[in-house]
Amino acid sequence: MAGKTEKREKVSWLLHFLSSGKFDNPRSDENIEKMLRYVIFNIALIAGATFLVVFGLSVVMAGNTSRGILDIAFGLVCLTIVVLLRTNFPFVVCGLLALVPFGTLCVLFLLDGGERGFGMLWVYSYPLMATFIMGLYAGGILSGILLAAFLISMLIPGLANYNYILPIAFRIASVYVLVLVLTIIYEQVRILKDRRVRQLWSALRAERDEITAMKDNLKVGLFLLNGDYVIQGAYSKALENILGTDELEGIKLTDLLSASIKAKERDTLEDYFGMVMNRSFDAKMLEEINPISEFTYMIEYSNQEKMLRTSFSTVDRGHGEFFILGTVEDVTAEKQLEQQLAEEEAKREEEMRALFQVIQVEPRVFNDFIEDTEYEFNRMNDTLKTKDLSAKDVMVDIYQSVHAIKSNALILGLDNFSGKLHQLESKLKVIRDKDEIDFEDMLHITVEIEKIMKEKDKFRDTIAKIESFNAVTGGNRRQDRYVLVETLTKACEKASVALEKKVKFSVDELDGIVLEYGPRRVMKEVLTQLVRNSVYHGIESPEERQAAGKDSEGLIRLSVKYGDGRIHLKLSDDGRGLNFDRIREKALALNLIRQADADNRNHLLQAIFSPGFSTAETADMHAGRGIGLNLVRERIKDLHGSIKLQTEPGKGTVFNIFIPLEIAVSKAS
Amino acid sequence: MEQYIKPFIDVCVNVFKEFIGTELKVGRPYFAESSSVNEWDISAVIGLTGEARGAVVVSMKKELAMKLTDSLTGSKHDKLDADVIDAIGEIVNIIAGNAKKGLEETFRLVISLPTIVEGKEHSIKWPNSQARIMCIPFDIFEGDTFSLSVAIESVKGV
Repeated sequence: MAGKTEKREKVSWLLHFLSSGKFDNPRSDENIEKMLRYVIFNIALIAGATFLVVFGLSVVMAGNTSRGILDIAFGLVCLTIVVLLRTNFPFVVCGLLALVPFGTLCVLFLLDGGERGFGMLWVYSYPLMATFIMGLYAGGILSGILLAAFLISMLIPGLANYNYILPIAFRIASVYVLVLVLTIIYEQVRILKDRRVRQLWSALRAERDEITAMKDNLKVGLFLLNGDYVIQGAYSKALENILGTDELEGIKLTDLLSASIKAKERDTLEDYFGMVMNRSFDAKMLEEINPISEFTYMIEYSNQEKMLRTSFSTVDRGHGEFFILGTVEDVTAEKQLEQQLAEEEAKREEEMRALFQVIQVEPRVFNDFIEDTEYEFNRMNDTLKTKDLSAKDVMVDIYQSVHAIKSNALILGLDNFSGKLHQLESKLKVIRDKDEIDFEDMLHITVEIEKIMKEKDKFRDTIAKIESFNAVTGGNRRQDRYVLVETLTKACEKASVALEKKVKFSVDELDGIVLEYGPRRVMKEVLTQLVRNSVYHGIESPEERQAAGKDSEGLIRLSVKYGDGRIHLKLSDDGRGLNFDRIREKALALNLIRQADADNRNHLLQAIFSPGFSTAETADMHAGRGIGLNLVRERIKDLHGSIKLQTEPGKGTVFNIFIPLEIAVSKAS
Repeated sequence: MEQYIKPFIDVCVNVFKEFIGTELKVGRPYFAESSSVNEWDISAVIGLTGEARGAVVVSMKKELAMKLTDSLTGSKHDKLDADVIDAIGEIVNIIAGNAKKGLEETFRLVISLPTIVEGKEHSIKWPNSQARIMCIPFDIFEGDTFSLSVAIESVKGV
């Protein structure tokens, strides 16, 4: 491992020398005791050799040549052992080679008293050396032998040259025993302590290894930030993976996020870190205000995007040093799933709503909706197939059909579906108003229509299920009359609730012949548009009505009659009537009439039936696209019918529509 | 869906320009019912699978098929023989090959080799249960037409 080589190089040559070069890794804890013996031994040998040579020389100078040579010789033996220790020669033998002659030397010192009787002082170093070098047992035994030897030499009179009197001999021996005992106790304590330390150390290491393993295998990015928000070295491996950057140590976190967050957010984040460091804030509160608790992370130098979830807290590392402990999790997949789930949920909800509507409304009304949608689809497809129509006309036609489908969907409360149609309308509007409609626009719209039709298929499947259920339980079907009135009442309700108006829809007369033979779809479509139109434009808000002295609830009345070979649809409201000033303004703005015709009411009335005309300021789901009345005119024109309009400011508006029945029958069938 | 259809149309225009030397006029797309009777004599089917599943079919009348063969081989053909079928197969092969390049790189899609179907007013059973098939008509040689029909369904979760 790289760390080991580095450490080995750092070990001084001195340690290398003192440990006889036997240890590749002197700091390794397993060898430390053995190494210590080598070091003590070498120091003892070198120090001993130096003393012996110096003293030996001084003894020779003093004239005692034989004695001096003995000292010097033993000094040289010590140096030889230093060399031997570096070879493969066993340590124990080296130890004996040094300690046995040293012991002998000590005895000799005792016998002749050494230099003026102090030579025996060497004796006291023996237990220390023997025990530290050879260990507790061997050292103890050697020291014991020496004790016995010098007791004998002292106590047997005549054996020693020096004259030991008994009290001195006992004192020498007592001090020796004391040194020996203390040495043994010390060695024993050291061994016990070492054993304990080793146990603690291995437990600690096992724990550390466990933590490292956990950290390295953690799926969450875990890291520490210092006071400058710099990432510290001991981060989990997953962090590099999650942040898509290697070598994170020493990088400032806020720098790393610079591609993902704006400068202002960065300031906020640093403020937030300051609060985390402050430690006086509630942990839960900190979690709540974390500005990057969930954010989109952009990996620098690549376009990859990830959704990350983070959390921060403080860690006290002692000595008043605080760090921020951060965790990062990659929640991209989770988020995507969440989104997918939400979409699925919306879809399911729509289906449920459809189901609910089918049960609540009446399968017949719903069936009507499906049939109408299919009818509009065929109409759009016919338009698409007609080659000689200009692209613009095709768009206008499709626009009408989509609008018609949307109106029906709104009545049934299919919000999601009508929302999609609303979006398609917006696209159609953009394309319709383009100067050049290219193939790509066409293809796009066709694909969008196909998507709408797929949705419709789903509704049809739903209704088929319900119908089969109804067939079993014997659900009863009601009349055409009911379907028409129900549809219009619902249209009126939906629009008035959305616009916060109070409107009552009432039917004065409904001719059976018309319902049976009349152009059912066109009538329903046209009347729906007109009812919605009345609620939106005609009927005032309840406050406005009361201010004008009217009943706060508006009234829309319908009568359907037959006579003289034609159908007469009459739809009247008691609203504010047409506002010719606004119509004029808008018609001029849209270039629907010439300035010269601006005061001609007939021309103005023509204008409100033009495609794109609307006096509403903004388009919403209920009005403002300016397609409703245009749709009415086109449908009635198809049936060779006519529209008459009466209006009186403050009193209301009446639409009279006449449709020849014979033609109507053949066209609608 | 558009992203899968568009390459076929672009490739068609390019291939006809390069190999037949004629400009195509792309018509307005419309829907055909899967049950509707075709007036075509020869069709080439290219299957798609992967993130979207379905088929693209190039269909034409025999007159156009023969004309195309004439301009490709240089000799005159007056009936729908093996030569004509080979020639149409070759053209569609080039179309499929070129479309493959773009589509397989961008999307997780695999495109099959084209299969040629021949027969008067033949009808093709489409691989999915979809009721509507999108048709894109092409005008060629002043008055002749062929159509590119597409039924593709994107597969969720692939």
